[in-house]
Amino acid sequence: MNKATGKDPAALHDAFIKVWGNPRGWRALTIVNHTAIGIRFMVTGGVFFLIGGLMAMLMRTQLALPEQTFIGPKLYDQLFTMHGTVMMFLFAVPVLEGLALYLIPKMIGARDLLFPRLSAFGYFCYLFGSLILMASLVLGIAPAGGWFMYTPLTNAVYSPGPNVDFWLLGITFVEISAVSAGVELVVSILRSRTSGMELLHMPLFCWNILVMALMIVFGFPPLILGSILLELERAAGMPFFDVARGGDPILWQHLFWLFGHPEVYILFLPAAGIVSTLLPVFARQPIVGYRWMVLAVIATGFISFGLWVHHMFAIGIPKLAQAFFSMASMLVAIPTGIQLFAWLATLWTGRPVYHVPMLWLVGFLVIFVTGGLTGIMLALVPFNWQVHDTHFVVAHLHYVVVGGMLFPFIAGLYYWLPHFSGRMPSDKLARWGFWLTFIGFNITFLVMHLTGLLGMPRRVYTYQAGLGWDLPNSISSVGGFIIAMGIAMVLLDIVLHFRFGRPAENNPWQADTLEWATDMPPKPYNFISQPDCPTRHPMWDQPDLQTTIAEGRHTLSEIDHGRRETWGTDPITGSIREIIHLPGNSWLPFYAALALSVVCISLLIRSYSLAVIAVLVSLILLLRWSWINGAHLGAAPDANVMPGYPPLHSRTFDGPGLWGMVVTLLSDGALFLSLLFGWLYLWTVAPQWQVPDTAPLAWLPLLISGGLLTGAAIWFNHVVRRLREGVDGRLQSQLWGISALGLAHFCLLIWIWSASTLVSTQTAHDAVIAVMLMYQLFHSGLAIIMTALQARRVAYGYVGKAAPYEVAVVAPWWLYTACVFWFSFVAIVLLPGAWGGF
Amino acid sequence: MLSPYHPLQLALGLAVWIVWFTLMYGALAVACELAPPPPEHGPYTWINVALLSSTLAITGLLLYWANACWRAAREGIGPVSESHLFIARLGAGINLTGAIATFCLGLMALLFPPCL
Repeated sequence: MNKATGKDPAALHDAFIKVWGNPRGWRALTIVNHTAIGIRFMVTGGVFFLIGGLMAMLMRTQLALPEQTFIGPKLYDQLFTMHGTVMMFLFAVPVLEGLALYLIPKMIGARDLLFPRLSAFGYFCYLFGSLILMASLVLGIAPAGGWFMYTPLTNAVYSPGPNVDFWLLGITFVEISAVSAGVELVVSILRSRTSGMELLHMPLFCWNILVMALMIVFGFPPLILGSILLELERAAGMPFFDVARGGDPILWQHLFWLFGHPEVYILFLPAAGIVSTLLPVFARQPIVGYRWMVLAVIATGFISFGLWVHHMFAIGIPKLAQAFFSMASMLVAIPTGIQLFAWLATLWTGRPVYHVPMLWLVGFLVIFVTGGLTGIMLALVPFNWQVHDTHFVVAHLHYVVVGGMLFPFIAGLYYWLPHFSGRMPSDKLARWGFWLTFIGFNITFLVMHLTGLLGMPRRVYTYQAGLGWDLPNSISSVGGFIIAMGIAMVLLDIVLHFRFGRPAENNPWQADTLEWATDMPPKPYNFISQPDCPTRHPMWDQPDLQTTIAEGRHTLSEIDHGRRETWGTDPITGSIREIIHLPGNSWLPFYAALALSVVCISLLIRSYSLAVIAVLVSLILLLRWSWINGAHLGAAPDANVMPGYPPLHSRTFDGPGLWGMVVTLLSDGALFLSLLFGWLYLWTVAPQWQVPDTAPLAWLPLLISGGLLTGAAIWFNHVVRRLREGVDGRLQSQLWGISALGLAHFCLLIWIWSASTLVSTQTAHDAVIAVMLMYQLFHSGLAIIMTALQARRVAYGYVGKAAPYEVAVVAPWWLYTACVFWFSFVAIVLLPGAWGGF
Repeated sequence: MLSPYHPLQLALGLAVWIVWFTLMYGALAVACELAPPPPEHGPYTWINVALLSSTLAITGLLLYWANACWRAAREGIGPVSESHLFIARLGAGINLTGAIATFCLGLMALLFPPCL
């Protein structure tokens, strides 16, 4: 018993575990806790890393000597495609997200992420999507068009089998996971920092993850759209990329690289966050230039969206446009350089100690700087043309991605290993692991620059002897096997440390951030009481924080209400605004992801009736998910709070759901803008763009349909405003009325489409309009369903004046849907008319 | 203008830059499609003039905002917290970065013909 608080830490822990505990056995599939989900992401990603690495070893074996027949061209094509795909989509992004999901709540002093069921759902989407993709490899029908899937090589004519479909559907499924994690991280960082943690106190890792998550939110939708369009072209014959029918394959390149280049920084920024966390700890002094670092991270995030065309310098675009992207490519080196100099200055002014994580950080600095320098070389158009599609580019991207992501990630892994397990790794094995990997990496890829400069193209399964490529290829292959030995050593160390590692003392590296104030390994609730954090270095300023937290001496240590709770705080000042109550363990995320994987598989085998059934099942599951929410007894069994505490978030207008909705709509908006870009791009650039003589859609009914939708959106907004004023009279009937109005708009839009002259398989023009109509119907349909659901909830008493939270969440969706309608109207009705198209 | 202490200052300058950049790239494609100037004119074309004008306008706007944020961070307008001063200082940096990026990219219009 603690005399000061009158609380018994052991009893408090038992009470918390009753609410927060993780079940075992099959019921472990219901776990939604961020610690478990983060570890699952990292372990699954680690397995895919080994599979991707194995594929690399097979390729290096094949290329070790000229004219080998160890692997044939077809398998080689599948291997290089799957190696890139697995490493980028199934390893790099998921493990970094996993680390972020694991660490962020702990670093900001929260008990969990704000949408725990979404975390679990994202994980299962990732797992099932990855398994679907990997199944193609086992079946010998893996994608073989390169990891960026350029058309026309990947269209139905040149890749007729299901290979490419596996990629398009599997990766889209995995991307749902990435975007959901992105949304969750943004909202959690902004709205659930512990009391007093102002923006300027936030650890740099959180800044990096915030920017990375926002980049995912904006960066992934172009590829999701591209994948949908290409799959529609392959499965339904809608010609977005077919020149003869008015499409353009270059559109695919734009959509892919609009995602693809920011992707590099989506990998680099979390890794840079790891570096910014570890270096000050081992240099034993705060980071130099905190504000400069934040500025550099934000600038990197933005500028990385302005570089995508530098991947397309060889396709024939005007010199001036090339110069813009060349300049932007060089500009992005400046914020990266700022970070680099801040790290060096921190080391220079500190008293560094070289524990194992520091070795990997030094390795990162050497390799990433080299990769950055070759990046600047590639930003220069003439040089870019010279080495285009050669092994030089392969070497560059490995220096950037392995140096900029894998080395810091392993540094972080060693640093947080005691946190995961409560034990320390073996110093000797760890050092062997580092040096073998570092030496092997440079042997492989430094030499590969030369192979590329000697003219060896990438993606060839063999080469003739005597072209000067024999020796460098052999050296690269030897280096590849040395890397494999290094990675094996690291894995061995990690596996053995769980059994033989020395028990770690509290905060073993004398770190400054809050994650070290939890138990090691951490309990599911992270902190039994949530501390104030008015400093950037809580563990340096209050070394006894771990003890005082465990004793319940800080806030929100009551648990008799049976709710999972964490503070909801102001995004800027960190002052407390509400208590956020979080959902507990649930089968719904697992079942929903399972149903979606059935959708994915049924699309793959072209069983569309099964796909429709699976979509309906998914919808029912997701609606059930949203039902157990807000004021539902399953979400908040007891609405009472301690005297002096703020209200539960479900009793306010500004809970995390609203923030989640807005961030989701930002992502959705990025997808819609990509679609508009595609429409305008094809209109302007496609060499055989075909426009019908008459407008395909009747404009007057379209106008009426838009009017009905706008009316519904305005009415919904009015309802929310009245609720804010404390008036909820006839709420249920009003919500039913709004649904009915929306339904009228929906039905009219379907009639307009069915009465139109659109033939979506004939021209790209009609195909894009068809996609816009589908997009609109999807949003309008969901708005109607969500509003009808709210009306039902009013009847149950889950929504009303006392619990207005959910209605406020739905409002932005209506607004967005109405805006999309009018933007589409301008794009497909007004603009062509003004242009003289018909 | 947006308050120098508004959290959107953390993104505004560079958001303006990326929107300007995208529009400029798109407008270049449309202009070259509709009314391509003769290649022998080199960079001395109406398209380059338009691009340079937009460059100078956006650069000027971002520099103005950067200055306003910097002054607000130094002098403090009304009772503001450390967090808000932090935002204003960062906002100055973000706006300045946007201005530099805009100016550097726009300068390319001095060097190259637009549609070749």
